[in-house]
Formats: sequence, C-alpha cells, structure tokens
Amino acid sequence: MRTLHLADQDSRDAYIRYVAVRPSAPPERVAAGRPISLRRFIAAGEANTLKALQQQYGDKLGESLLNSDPEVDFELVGKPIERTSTVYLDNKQQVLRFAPDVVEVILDPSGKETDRREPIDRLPNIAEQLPIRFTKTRLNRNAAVRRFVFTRTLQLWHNDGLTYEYLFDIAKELHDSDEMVMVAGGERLKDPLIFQLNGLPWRAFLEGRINSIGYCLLLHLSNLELKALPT
Amino acid sequence: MAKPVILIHNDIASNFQLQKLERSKLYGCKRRIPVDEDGEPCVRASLTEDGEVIILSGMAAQGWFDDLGRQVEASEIGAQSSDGIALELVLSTLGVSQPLEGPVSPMEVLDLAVSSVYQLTADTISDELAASLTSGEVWRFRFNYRSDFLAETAYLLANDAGIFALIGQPATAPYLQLNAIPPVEAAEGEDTEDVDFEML
Repeated sequence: MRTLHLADQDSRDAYIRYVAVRPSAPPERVAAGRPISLRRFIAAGEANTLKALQQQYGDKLGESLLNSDPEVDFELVGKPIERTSTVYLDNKQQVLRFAPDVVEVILDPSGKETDRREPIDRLPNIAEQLPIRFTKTRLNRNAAVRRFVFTRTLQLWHNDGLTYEYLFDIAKELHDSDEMVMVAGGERLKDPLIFQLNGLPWRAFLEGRINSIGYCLLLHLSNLELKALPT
Repeated sequence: MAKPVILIHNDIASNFQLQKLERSKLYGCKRRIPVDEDGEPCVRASLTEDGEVIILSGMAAQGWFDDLGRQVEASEIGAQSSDGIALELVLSTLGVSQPLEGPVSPMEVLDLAVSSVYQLTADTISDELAASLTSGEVWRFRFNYRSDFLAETAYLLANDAGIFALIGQPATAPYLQLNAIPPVEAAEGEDTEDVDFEML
C-alpha cells in the first residue's frame, strides 16, 4: 500500500496508507464457451500503409488494390505484437540512438497552439516532509457532487490504533457536518496533489462516513468541473 | 446527431441532447512533443522485442482471439459473469425511455467510478423535473451509449452552468474496523493510470 502524509485542521499529522477504490471487474468475454482476449497484431508492413501506397501508386492506387493486393505484406501481416519498446524516428525516418529533446505545447480548448516552452517536471507532493493539509474550503456533499467530477477515489487506511483514532475522528467530524474538506499541498496550500513524477494534478476533497462497524474516509480526486462547454 | 436521452419523471418524458464533457474541451491541454536535433517533431513508433519490425502508426490492429489462437468475429462475442452465467446484451439506452429513480443521496454519486460525463441540453423538460434539479436533487437512471454486456449507472444533476449526467459503475468502499485486514498490495502498473498522458 502506498502512503501519504496528512495533517488535519489542528496540524496533527500522520503518514497514512491508501488504496484506490475501484468497481468490480467487467464480465469476462467468451466465444463458443471459450475465454477470449484482445490482442494486437501487425496489419500492414511499413511499405503497405495507406500513406506509403498513396506515394507509390498515386492516382492508380484503386486499380492496384484490385489487381495486385499491394496492401498486404504476407511476411508480416497477422504477426502477433507482444512486448515492444518505444522508439523515436527523426525527420529522415531514422531511429534516434539517444533520448530526444522535448518541447511542451500548450493548446487552448479549440485545439489551437497558444504557447511552446521547455517542459518543467511536476514533482510528487503527497508523501513529503511538508504534509498535505486541510484548507478552509468546505463544501457540503450535495454541492460538491454538483460542482466537481470526481474521477478517482482513494480510501485511507489506518496503520495502528493511533492512526485508527485519528482517521475515525476526521471521518466522524465530516460525517456529522455532511461536509467535504479540500486538502492541498505547498507552503500556501495552493498546490493540487501530485501522486508521482509528472502525474496528473488533482484537486482533492476528504469525505468521511461512520457507522456501527467503523469508519470510511475517502479522498475524492477531481480535475474537471461541471461547467458548460464553450460554444 | 446521436439519439436523445429520454427520461421519465412522474410519468412525463423529458428529452435531452448530449455532448461529452472533457477536460481538454474546457481548459485546453498540454502536450509534450519529442523533437530531433533539427528541432523537427519525431515520429513515435514501437520496436518489436526481436528487433525485427518497427511498427508505425497504421501498421497495427487489434482483435479478439480465443485460447487456441483463433480470431473471433464480433458477432460471436458473448460475456459471462464471474460465476459462469451467460450475460444478455444490454442494448443502447439512447432514444429509449428510462425511468428516473430517486432522488438519491450525494453519497451514492460519490460512490460512482465515473467513466464519462455529458452535458445535457433539454429539448423538452417537465416543469417538475426542472424544479427538482434546480433545488439540487439528483436522480439515477440506466445508461448505455452503445450496446454492451454491462449496463452503466447514470446520475442526472444540475448546477448554475447546466444539466449534466455522470456515467460509470458503482464502487463502494468498505467501513474499516480497528483490526481491518489491509488489502493485498496493489499490482505493479497501477501507477500508470495516474500518469498524465498528455505530457508524454
């Protein structure tokens, strides 16, 4: 189990384990009673892609397809693709022998490029010395589900009796107030949560539940608001 | 144009057109592009394990195969539950009236593993449903964009920006006792879902 460093509104902090909450696995696909699986295979050789054929045959491509099947490479087609390595080709179609430089392109909602710059790595911030902490932003649960799309949920787990009490108390306080509290990182509590190097930045809200069995403390993650699309 | 979503509330039908809501359409996005020494964009490709073939865009396809290696036609594909019972195909719900259930608790919505979100535009909406959504109530219905062996759950809700449907599968977390046994260590590779693919 992975770990995050959490501090509550009283600055009490602890390293807490968490797991992703997931739906049950989708049903198994079968054909004629036998299990089946999705596999990749080679469908065309390098010289048989549409682009290559258009270059080679030009206007006579249709005729050639009918007469000589140039789109099929009998040596290659059907070969299963198992493990592969990513490679990059330069503008002369040669494999690069060294890691390429990378530029970061910023696109606006219509897909138009607005900026181009050197990329800056996003560092993880959830299990550092400075804990992620409660902000002053609280929303009741109904308002939260109508404002944000929560696409990932993590369940926080206690490590021992002390962290059980710590998490139970947080869950109880949130359950009783029917509220979710936003947690954030950084000195000024402005930073979204980043779980791994160059991971997605998430806005995160803690939600708590208790019953006669125990507690359920969930960290709901969102990177999308329920807003109207631009027209 | 896709068929409408037709929802029945107190025996009155409301019709909606739907439009997928995505992060890139709201905020834009970032892409990381590898460039060669001339500053030209590189082409990303895959090299097979034996080093024999470089797979470029358009050279690969995927299909369903059984355990004997036989390719299976789409019309032959079925599904079964974890206890081996054959499942019926659940048809697309678009254009087919679906009853609204609820109003439901926001905790139920928080227990949804969201797979897609749609902005809904009402062609017709009953006064009662409009009033209910404006007051903050949330309703559940069945939704399948395409026919599938698994019916998805949808929640209908509204805010100042409009009416939306959240689609996905329920995923409920357990309540923990003091002696709760931690789940098995997550499999390697779980991390990949958190990687910002727009950055690659």
